[in-house]
Amino acid sequence: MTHPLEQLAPYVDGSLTGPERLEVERHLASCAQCRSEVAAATEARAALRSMPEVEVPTDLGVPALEAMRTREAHHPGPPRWVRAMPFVAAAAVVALLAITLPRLGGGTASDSAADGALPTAPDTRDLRLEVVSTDFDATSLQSEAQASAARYADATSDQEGAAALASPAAATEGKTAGAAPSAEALRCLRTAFEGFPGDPVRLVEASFEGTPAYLAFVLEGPGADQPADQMTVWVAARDDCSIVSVTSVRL
Amino acid sequence: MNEPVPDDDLVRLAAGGDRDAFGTLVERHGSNIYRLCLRIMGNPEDAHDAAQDTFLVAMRKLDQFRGEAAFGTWLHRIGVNACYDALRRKKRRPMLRSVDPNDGPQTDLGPAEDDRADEIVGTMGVAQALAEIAEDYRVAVVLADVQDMAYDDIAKILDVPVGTVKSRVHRGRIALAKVLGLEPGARNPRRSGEPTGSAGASEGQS
Repeated sequence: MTHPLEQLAPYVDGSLTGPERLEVERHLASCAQCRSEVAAATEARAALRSMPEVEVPTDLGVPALEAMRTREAHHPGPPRWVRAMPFVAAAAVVALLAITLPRLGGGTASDSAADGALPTAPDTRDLRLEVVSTDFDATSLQSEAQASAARYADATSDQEGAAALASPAAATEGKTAGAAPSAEALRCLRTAFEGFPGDPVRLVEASFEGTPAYLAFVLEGPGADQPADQMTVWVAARDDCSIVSVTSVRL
Repeated sequence: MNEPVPDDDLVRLAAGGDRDAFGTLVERHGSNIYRLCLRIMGNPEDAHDAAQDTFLVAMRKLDQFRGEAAFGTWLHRIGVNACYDALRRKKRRPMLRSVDPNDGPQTDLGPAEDDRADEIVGTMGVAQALAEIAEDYRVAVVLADVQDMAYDDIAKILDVPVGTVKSRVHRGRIALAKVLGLEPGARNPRRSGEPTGSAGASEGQS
């Protein structure tokens, strides 16, 4: 006997209608096996449908909106009249921006400073690029951000740490610091994120979900000399300097 | 009352950099995507990450949205892929190696956090049972019976033939019934190898 295996799912949820439904019913009348499967599947479906609604976190769009903000910070986006236009026009603007942005984003730190849009760190600082073999994912990156935040936030409260933050060159003196690799990492991050704040406390070369990547850990505060209350990690692909991920943790 | 702006219009605005438009899309689809991720991933932490990833990826691909399917369907496709990625990563979950082991608190990333789902997710029976069945079956029944998607849409989301979808949904329901102890006796008896069946074997005979 041929069992109508592909008809049983729609039969159970009622989406099978007309002659096909009658056909299945005829088969069920003579097939105990399929009858018992239909009974089990019906129970399982009822159980699935009785699962309660869940409480939904309110920050699901945060990394995406953050990434949009960093683009906008440098390039305010199309004006209102373009937004009101059909998709083709908007796409054209996006395409134009896409052509323009990499050139701007790929500039040096002093370029960025020159256009005045960013709180740019002195680009002469010799921030060491840490090379690790870790393959991060969203979860482990959050943990690492938290750990780094704790470390660097603590550092600001003791003198030595404060000195280290104020003058990373001094802090990394004697280590096998690579100014060139870290400059390349910063360049890449700026290419990926037009609004990259450019003042990381750590620069890391690792991978993210298998993609070789540069990671920049940036402490962010509410401004006005208030202490930092957020650590944001910016992740850019090493090969093409594209956006890989952005994640923030509250301190 | 103003008519709500259609998704497709919001997508166009968001693709042009309008964050409010994207925020509205997240508001509109956030609970749906989170539910999808929660039922596939099985715990709130992983679901949260997968849902955030979904919107991040969607934002980056907005200009690829052609409106052939509903935006919600398109988003589900990204969401399912984010979950598959996350499940793959969990299988080879690496221990995070700190750069300097003496610095800062060490965060244990060991695979212990699944237990926490027990406390948070209600109807643990069904949620836990879902976690026990093969991924392809789980994804199929979640799309069909939790998210209430049509078979045609599920086929687009999973990029498999409709017949395969129907077969996976049916087998997934039976596998779930077995785990829940509901099944009165079915094909693929419990003692034969994998108790909850594995998708791919003997499916999609269309």
